[in-house]
Amino acid sequence: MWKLLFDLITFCKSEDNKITPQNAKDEVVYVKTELQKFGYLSCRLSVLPPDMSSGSRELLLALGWLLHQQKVFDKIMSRRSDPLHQPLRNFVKLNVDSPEPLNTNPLGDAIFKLPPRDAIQQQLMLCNKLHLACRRLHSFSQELRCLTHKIHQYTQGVSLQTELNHLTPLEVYLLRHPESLKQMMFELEKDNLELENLVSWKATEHVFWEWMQSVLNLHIQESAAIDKKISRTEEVHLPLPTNIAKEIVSIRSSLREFILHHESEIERLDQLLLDKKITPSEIHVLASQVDSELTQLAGRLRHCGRGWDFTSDDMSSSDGTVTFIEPSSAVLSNGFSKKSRPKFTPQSEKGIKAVKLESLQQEVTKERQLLEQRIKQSETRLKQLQLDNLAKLQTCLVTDPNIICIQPRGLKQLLNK
Amino acid sequence: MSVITLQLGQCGNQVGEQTFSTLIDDVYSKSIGVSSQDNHDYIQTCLSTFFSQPESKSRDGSFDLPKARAVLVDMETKAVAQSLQQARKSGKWSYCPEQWYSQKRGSGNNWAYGYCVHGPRSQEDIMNLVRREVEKCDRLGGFINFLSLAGGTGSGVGAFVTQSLRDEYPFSFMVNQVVWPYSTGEVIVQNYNAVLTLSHLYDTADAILVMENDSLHKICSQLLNIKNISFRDINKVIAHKMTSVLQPSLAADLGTKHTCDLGYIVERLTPHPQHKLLTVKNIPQMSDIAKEFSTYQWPGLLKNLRQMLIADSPMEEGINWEVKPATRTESGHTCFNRSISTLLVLRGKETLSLDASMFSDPNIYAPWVPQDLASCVFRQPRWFCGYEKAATLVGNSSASVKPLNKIIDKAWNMFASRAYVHQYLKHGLTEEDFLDSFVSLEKVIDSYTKL
Repeated sequence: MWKLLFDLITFCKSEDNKITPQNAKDEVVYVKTELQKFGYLSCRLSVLPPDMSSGSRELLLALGWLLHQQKVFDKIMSRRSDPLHQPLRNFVKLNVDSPEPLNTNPLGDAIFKLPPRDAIQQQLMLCNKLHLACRRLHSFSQELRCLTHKIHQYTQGVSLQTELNHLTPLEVYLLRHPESLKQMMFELEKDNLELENLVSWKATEHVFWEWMQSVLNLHIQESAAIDKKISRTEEVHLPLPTNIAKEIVSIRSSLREFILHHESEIERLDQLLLDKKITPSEIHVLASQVDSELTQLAGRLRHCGRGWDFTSDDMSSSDGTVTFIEPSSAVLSNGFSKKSRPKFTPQSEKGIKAVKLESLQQEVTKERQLLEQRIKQSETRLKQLQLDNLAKLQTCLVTDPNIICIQPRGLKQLLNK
Repeated sequence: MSVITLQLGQCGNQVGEQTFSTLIDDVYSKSIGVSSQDNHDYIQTCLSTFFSQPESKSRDGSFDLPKARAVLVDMETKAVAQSLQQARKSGKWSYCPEQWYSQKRGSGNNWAYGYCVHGPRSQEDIMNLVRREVEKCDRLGGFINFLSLAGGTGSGVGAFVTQSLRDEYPFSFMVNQVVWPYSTGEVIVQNYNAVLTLSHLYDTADAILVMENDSLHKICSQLLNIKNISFRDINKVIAHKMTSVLQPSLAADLGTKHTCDLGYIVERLTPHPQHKLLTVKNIPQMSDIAKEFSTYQWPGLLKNLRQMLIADSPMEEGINWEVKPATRTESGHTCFNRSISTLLVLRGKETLSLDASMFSDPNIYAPWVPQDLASCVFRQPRWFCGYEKAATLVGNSSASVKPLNKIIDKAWNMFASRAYVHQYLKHGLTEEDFLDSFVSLEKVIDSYTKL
């Protein structure tokens, strides 16, 4: 059982470097800590003896919890390797010996032994090398795309999959290399087995959960009795920092002080919220915002084939005598409460749309003008700053004869523009 | 992987055409030394990289020839027409009939005219031609641009085209093969042109392969025993050097397939952004007659090549054997040629088992280069151009700086008196552009001398 839990946990964590426990004790400790990290806190589990001798019920419960919480079977389904849809390079990798990976020399250490000037040169060189290697990768990926397209083009009209009109590179490879069909069969059989197991699990899943239910019930019944007899063996918990209790206390006290300190302001804010009154113009603004949002939503609903046209009869009144029965704070604090919600009535779209469009357009033009102004302002500021900086640079150059200024070619063109 | 070449200017066009001829000659050469299956792979890799082969044969067979993946550009019609004709005459390959661009009037050896006037005017057409070539490729391995530094079109238009290529294909690799003018050259403003071109190329190209006319001339006269050296002979030497690097070969970490991966070469040789100048040294180089009677052994060849690198000698005659990697003058300067990285290409017999560890000696490299990134070896058991054993060394070392220094000095002297500058200013350059170029090249020289 411990082993099963251990395997499941490593699967859920899907780490690349598999942790191989040295002995049973380490395995037990690892399982306990990982389960706690996932959120399964049970002191009964943590006090189980490390020699795996007892505690099957606890482990069963933990297993059931893990299966459900981590959605283990869903993960298995999603990670299933689909042999027919895998990329060609994964399939071919198994056949061909990949070239040896470049030995990762400890270049990092060597750099520190160099004088700074040489170290910079080396860094520069390595950085540029990376750039060039990236470019090569780019050309390789382009070639891959090109060739895949060619394959698709040449096999137009023939297909082994219903949704495509051509053969995939993997299928072409299999056709050309019949000896690799053996390997494909092997992979397909493995996949088949996995799928059969999954199907049988799905069929009998309910039995497992019923069993779990019974175990849990039994556990709860007997827990009252067992609690008194708990042995004081070593509890394995998540590594908490030792001074956490002190930290919590200190943080709490600082929070209390903070609240006391700013109490007066907090009271003032509360008062403001209660006192604030809405002016009619604000009502209009808020109402039009609501209207626009609701038209959008109604439009989207209409697209889905349901819904109706929105019109805000009681919102579009122009006399400004809209009053609220409730205090304004309720509006702010509750959002838009039921009393202020406009009615939905079916009506023709065009009238409403025209009005909305006009207002929207006006707002849009206003915003655009504002933005353009801002852009112009920032542009002039930027140019001014650039000229100022250049002037400063020139003065520096004039004052100190030891400085030589070499401007990059690209920058000069930019400035001259 | 496909490599597209751009032949810019008269020199560029001639060198490019000669390179393709040499590639094809090597592909169809009789003495190969490997099994027919390997040979077949080699030929297929070479042809698919540098040529596009038509997929369906035509009726009369005349379109079966592999077509070079090249774009020919010149501001005069003569060079382009000549290249096209030469290719057709060979009968083994040809250029695509529409992949060239030329104008009526040349650039008059004026870099500014090429860069500021011809460049923008012809940019769209040239880019369209390049795009057509790129679309034919499955995987764009990179661009190789052939140009010279002294003229007007190759240098000016070349710099502009390299820039536009970089803008349009920011992820591609660009290697520029530049021909360095004779130090006693005919064109009076060749120094200006060279300085301006190099400074612009440094920003946009990934690697710059330098071929000096002076050294090539020496090779022709001393090793190949040619009496009246013409540009054609020099171009043959350049083509030989280029193809010995570019033909397919096996690299240790690229798996077991023959490949000529330009990106890999660039990544190994020019990883540092300030050091992009490369030189190519070949060994052995001899005339066709002498080839039949000479045999070499690998240890001797490799030792010579290594000493050529350290002593910065362009050929295997006249090497200074006194220079050793640890030599220092009294003031502590290094007397030998320090490298950042080297690429050794071995072609011929027994290459797969050859020990090339003398090139990974950390003494010949700058101290900050990690040992396993310094040198790289490509091996190819198939014979190259009829040579039973041939080795090529592409090095990124401080040797490239000496000619650069000379040219900058001369250009600066001319610029100090503003000689001929008005010719450039009237086409859109300013004196500040000149100064920028000088400054950036001084930076390059500085970083190389501090190796």
